[in-house]
Amino acid sequence: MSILSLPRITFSGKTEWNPDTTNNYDTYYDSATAAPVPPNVSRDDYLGTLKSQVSDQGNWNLYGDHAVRFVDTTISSIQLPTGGVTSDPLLGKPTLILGLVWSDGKNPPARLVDVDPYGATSSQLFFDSFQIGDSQIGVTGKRVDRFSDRDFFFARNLNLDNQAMIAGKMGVVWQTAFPKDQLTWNGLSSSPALTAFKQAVDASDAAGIVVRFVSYRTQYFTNCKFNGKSITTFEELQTAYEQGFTGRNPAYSAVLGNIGVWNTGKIQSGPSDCVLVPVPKANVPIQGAVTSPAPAAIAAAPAGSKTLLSRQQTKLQSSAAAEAASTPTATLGQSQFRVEFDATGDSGKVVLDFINAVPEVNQQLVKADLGSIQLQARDNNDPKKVTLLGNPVPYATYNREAYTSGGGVLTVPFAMGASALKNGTLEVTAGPSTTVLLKERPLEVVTDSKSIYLDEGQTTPVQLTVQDRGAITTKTVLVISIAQYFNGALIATASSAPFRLTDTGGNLLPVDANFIATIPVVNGVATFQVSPTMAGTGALCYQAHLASNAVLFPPGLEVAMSFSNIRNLPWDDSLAKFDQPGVVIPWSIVYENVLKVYDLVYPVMSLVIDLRNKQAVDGAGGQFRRATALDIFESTLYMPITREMSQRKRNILWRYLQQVEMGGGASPK
Amino acid sequence: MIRLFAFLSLGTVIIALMISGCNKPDQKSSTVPPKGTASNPPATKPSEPQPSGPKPKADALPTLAEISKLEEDSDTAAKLVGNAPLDFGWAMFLYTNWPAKPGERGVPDPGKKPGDAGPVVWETWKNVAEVFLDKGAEPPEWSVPPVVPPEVASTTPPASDSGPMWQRMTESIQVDGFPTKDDSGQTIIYNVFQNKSVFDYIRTNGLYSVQGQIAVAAGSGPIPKIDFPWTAMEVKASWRWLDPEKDQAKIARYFTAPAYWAELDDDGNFVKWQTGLMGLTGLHIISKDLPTWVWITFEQVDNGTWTKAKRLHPIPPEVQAVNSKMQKLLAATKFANYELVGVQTSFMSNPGSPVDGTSINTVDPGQGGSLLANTQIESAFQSRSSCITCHSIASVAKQLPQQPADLLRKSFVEVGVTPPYYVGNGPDLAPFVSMDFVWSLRRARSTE
Repeated sequence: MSILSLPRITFSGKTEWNPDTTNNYDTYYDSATAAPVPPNVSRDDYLGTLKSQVSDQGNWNLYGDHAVRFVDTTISSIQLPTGGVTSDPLLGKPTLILGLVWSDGKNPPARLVDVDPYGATSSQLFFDSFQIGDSQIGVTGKRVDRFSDRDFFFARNLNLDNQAMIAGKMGVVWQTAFPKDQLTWNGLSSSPALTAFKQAVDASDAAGIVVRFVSYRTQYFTNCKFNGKSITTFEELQTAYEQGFTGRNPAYSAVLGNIGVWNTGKIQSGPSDCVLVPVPKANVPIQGAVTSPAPAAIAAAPAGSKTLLSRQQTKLQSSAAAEAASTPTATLGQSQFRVEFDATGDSGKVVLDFINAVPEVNQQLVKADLGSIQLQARDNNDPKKVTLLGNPVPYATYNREAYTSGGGVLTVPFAMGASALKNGTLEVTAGPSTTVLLKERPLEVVTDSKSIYLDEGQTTPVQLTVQDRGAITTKTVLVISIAQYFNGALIATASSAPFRLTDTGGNLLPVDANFIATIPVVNGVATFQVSPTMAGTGALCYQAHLASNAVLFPPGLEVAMSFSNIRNLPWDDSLAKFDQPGVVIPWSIVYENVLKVYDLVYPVMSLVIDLRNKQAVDGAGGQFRRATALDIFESTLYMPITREMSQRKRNILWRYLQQVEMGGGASPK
Repeated sequence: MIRLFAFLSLGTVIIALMISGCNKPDQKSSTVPPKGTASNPPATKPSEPQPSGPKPKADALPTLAEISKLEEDSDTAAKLVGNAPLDFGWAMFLYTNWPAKPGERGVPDPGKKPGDAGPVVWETWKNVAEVFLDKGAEPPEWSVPPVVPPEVASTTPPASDSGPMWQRMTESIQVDGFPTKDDSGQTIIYNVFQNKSVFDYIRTNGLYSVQGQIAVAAGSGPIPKIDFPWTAMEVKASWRWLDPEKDQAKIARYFTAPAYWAELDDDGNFVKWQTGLMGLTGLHIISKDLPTWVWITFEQVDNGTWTKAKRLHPIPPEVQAVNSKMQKLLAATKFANYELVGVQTSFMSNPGSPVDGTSINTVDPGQGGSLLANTQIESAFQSRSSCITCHSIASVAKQLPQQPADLLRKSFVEVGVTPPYYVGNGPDLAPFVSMDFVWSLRRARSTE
């Protein structure tokens, strides 16, 4: 069972994002040292520079607090094995992603944090519970692991109406799971649908529930006001900041999600079924009446603007220009599928998770008309041989209405071709030329270690699982090749490698001439250890293959690959002299080295507690001490929200707070 | 079950309790059974019957002699806590706000009545700034008057209800790390006072320094454990600045005092003393008439309008009824503008009781922890404010911290709930040692 099996609950609505965007820029923030740029700048000068460059740089949310909320997000459909549910009190109930807060407040938010603040493929949602329904009827899951983003589709919105900006064209999927013992059920006696869902969750082969949702069509400048006036442009925003605005400028995405039964033995963060990856550069023309803006109109963001996706900026702008220059075309985004064979084994159905597959063409979320979509199986032994599976899937089956009501899930029955599918790989085609847009990638390396933070000297285990067509592989001659990426580029030498990879015995993993490491797969699993060799952000990319085969890795990290994002925290060796018992730590050391980055880069924090003010910090010493403890790292209570505090800086802060306590606390003397 | 506390003369109640067989010699420490604990909730029996003999005038403020009995006889006090906790709360308010005898710290003046000019009893107690000194030095004994900085003492104090006695303010931040402000944007400021029982206990047993506290915790101190006498009391007051010219209408409704407060720069360096007139917005009173103390809090009635902090849980009807009668009796004084918010005697909710039960934990109803919060002192975490629980965590380590992860005192911040503070039964303190609910001890400084 999985999201692609029944029962399944679908929810839809909007997500509100309120990240701080200053750390996206290497001209303002050094992610290796976790410090403002330049490090010795004053708060006034730093904020003055930020504000004066908003219009030029596109820094759209200086006072963001990384809060994430579902807005007007409700349960929109329920599918049971017996059929769709048309009436149940669970329908229409809210869905909430919730955090914890230090003060009284209702529905505290989750927090959006990028492992790599400069990049676009390392986002996580830290949260504390996920609520489906409410306290009367519903189920709430306590967080076991964060949501990490995956299945990136940068060109999901074709922007034919020229309204998208920043990350507005992107679609991204989030997934995590909740074990049975972390679920609290309410109102079962009032909801037959919820009862049926719980029965499926309680089955012996189920581990809990899995939640998978997509964020897409992100819109900006829709809910920002200063002095009663709406702010709708970068220029207005800059003026507002310069006049003292310290408020929110959140972005809003459409959200569509599915909740299903989490299979025993499957990882939490997905994928749990067969994987379909986009064929590079494949696309098909869009059918029907569409409009294409003049090339000049594409540049909606300021010239030179760095978007939320700094490293992807060039790619986005260049692809936008290409789209404008020719007939609109589209491709499909990374997806999953599951095959259910009938009792005879000769027929069955393919269930496709197309929650992030078919693009939209505009802000109204009209789906791109690719014509009919056709499934086919390509023979493993004869690559020229393809067998069609099922009937063509017409546009009406994947248009906006069908997409929303069905949770992006498409079911394609087939009466013939079962054998071809069993002995081949699935492909998804479209267009007049039957262009293959998605191809199955049978061997998939999956891991729940999607987002890793490493402190100096720290070693952490990483477990990889190899799925073969969605099931843990039983092949015995597989290895996983592991490539290192740093600042987005493939690493080819030991001296530039940011990570040290060892086996569970501490021995270095063997590497080839291209510095690609390998590790054998045993019973479908491979475990290694990773430790940092330098500060900064990077990734480990994985490919599973037969030991006798060689694989190549691209020079730049590609989002369709399987990878883990890793942030090596700053190595604050210069602070070692203060990290000793009995050493007096001046306030200036604490502010300049520990707190200043938050005061400057995330100025919203000083609106809550003035981090520049010793008395304010001393007065909240108990909270600072608790909020920076690693045992709450996963909670939204953890401060720093952006998770870049090294152990050395934590020690400095804690020793300082000990001094404050030994001096009688925060009261003025 | 809703208890009806038809208000009798507080004096009547006290006398009734006394006559009902509780005439014992003054006691320094209580032998009263631990009422109000989680395993022994307060008794809900009705008030004691009227005694025979001359009856005091009904619906009148109690006399000083009557209230003072609560400070002289632990059984009388404990019985009043158990039988009429709201009356006890008001009794403590009257006692601590009685005009003080000139020249004697902490002694009410029998020749005066509530509302008469001059400092009140608690204002003449020891300010914690007098108790916990630099380098953990021994504080001067009780009778030594407070030292006012020369630059403040040379200034004419503004006219106030307290008279010319300058009040030292000691903090601007609440225990959750956040300040709150009044309607003019000025920060609410606080001070804390200890009565002679608390002070003498601290001074006698060396608890005025971190090392002295650790010694007791480690078993090498002069006492086996920190256990304050039943006569121990503390107050924590919250104040707002008032402009003598612009705030005349407000001044008429506040108990006022002249105050001084240290202004610091961002780096914590002293800049100057800010002086002026302050109005009392809230008053915590704690009294060790139970082993787990009794927790009482009052607020100025206009707080919801004149400060930015808003009340989360309404004051229960039973408490409002008592307040209404007491405010009528105090109509000739500014204390008519103050109201009892609640009295907490138990960790857990006691449904049907006008205390504890009505302050039900609405965040986690199943947990059933009792709540009590003052909008001026626990502004932003009222939904998880339990005086008794947080204070039960007052503790000290058995040794000085060495490593960054070492704590001097157990954290009172629980995480995993929202907001993250303790409610309900207090946690196990080990490896720390209890400081008998007295968090003011954490102001002690190191001798090193």
